[in-house]
Amino acid sequence: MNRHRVFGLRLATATLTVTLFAGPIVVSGVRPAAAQFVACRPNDKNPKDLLVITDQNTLRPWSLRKFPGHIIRAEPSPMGRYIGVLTVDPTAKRNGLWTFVLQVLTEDGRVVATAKNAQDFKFSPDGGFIAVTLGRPYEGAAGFIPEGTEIINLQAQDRWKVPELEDATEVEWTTLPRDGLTLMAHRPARRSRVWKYRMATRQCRATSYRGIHFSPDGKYYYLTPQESMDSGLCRSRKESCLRAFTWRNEPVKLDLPAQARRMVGWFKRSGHELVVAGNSAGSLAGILGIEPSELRVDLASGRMKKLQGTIDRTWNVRSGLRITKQKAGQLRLWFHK
Amino acid sequence: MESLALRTPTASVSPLAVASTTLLALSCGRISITDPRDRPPAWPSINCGAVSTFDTDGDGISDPVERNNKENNYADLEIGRCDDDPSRPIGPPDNGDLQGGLNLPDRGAGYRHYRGTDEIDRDDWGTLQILACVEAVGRAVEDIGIQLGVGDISLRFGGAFPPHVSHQNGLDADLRYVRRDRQNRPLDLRFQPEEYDAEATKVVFEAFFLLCPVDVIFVDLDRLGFSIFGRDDRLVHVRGHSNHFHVRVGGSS
Repeated sequence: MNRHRVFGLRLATATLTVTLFAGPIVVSGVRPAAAQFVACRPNDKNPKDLLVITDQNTLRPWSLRKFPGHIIRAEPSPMGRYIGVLTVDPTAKRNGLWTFVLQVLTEDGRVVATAKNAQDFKFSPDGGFIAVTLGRPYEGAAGFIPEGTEIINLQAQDRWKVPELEDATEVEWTTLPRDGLTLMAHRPARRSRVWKYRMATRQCRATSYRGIHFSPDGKYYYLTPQESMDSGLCRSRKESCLRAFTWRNEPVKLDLPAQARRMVGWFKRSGHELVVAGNSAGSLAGILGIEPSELRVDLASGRMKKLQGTIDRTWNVRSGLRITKQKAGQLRLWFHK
Repeated sequence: MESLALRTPTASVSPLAVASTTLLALSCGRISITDPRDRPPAWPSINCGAVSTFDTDGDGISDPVERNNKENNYADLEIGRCDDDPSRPIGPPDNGDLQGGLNLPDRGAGYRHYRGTDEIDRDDWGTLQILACVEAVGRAVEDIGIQLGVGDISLRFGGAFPPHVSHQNGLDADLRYVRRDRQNRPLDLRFQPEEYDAEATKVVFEAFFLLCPVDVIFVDLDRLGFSIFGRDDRLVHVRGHSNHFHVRVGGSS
């Protein structure tokens, strides 16, 4: 049986909970609505991976599900109703490389949707839809050759491919003021690399945006480092991007240190609070409030909430704020309640 | 765990140091082994007359590369003649071209080109810089039982190379992480961590930084399992790099 312990601490406005699991946990998730953990742990004596759902208060596993292939990623939907699990498909190889399969489960383990040749997935903000990036594995580029983008309505059990997004390598949901629920797509092979697909009209068109990761209120987006080395924070309505912010009156490049650049995301419950980890002055993690009147982030204004001094390894902000640290077989999980 | 240190009668010596020293001796000063951040004006340096076992005419283009490109009528190169480097990167890696690109032999000392389902000699064209870099690192790690798996570089004349964003000007190369069993086969760090040899991969990375003017290496930092002192700013996490890493060398021309 795994050893674990839980303790909490209160910062300015949020309670953080720290949980330690013993064992080689490879991926993790948080079910925000149900306030439960989802933890995926490979069984050392069995090649099948386990999905473990535990009660947050007692930490007792109350639901287990075995998967025939290794789990690549598991993530709950924003409202906690579904869990998306991307695993190796042990029944299918293409060009000598393993393919992946996505299963969307309910909390009682029932499979409501399956997508073969999936490479990635994103739940819509309300959890009602899931966008699946399809592709065949490839030892180069983004790790796969894109083969389309499929949207699944999980409640209506309706699914369709977006024809224009056959070469999208990454997608992200957002709710833009004028467009409503929109799927932003990165199409690196196109002259216009960011396209948007409006769910209301099912129309797709090119944009002048350079990134797909929009703040919940749609006012800003950030650029993740691609092979073009482009990263930063941009205003949605104007062609202006921020490359630096201040920290105690010292300029800090938003072009974060290479090892920390992946650690950026939007705090999902806010308008436009950016979660970052790592800066050139030393490791830090925090939530940055962006000045609404101008594209400027001022950490000295007190808008930032420092969360943790030292972090490394895995960072995932999609399901609430989480910082995980794996050391000597232990997973440390932090999140907002 | 298998040790990567070579045993001598008196001491344990880093195999990379041995390989680098050997390479330095063989290169007869023609390939500058300097801190790549000092960015030598041209790399590899040309010093005709300073021959080595792998470049007998001392023109900076290895004999295997000269032979491969001559026999296939890809470039006017001649072993025994001091040839100029015909290759030039044009524009940036994500919006560029390749002029006078050279073809990497499919197999060489310490490396093998994996091409998936692609046709022969479709995706392994580059500048002399990236080819000499792959060859130098291959020679350096061959003695410790590592064979580099080299994937896509660029198309013959560069330009758009789907599904890549970059790889357009002959300065980028995709390579496999090193497996524990030393097989030159696919490896995905996301679900095959037990087959991944982080220690050996670190040796390969160090060889790249030591022997080549590396601009950046794109990796899966969540799973890489090591850092390189003084070089961490050149290891950049980019999504999708769990089944290969991507080396970009500096274009000096």
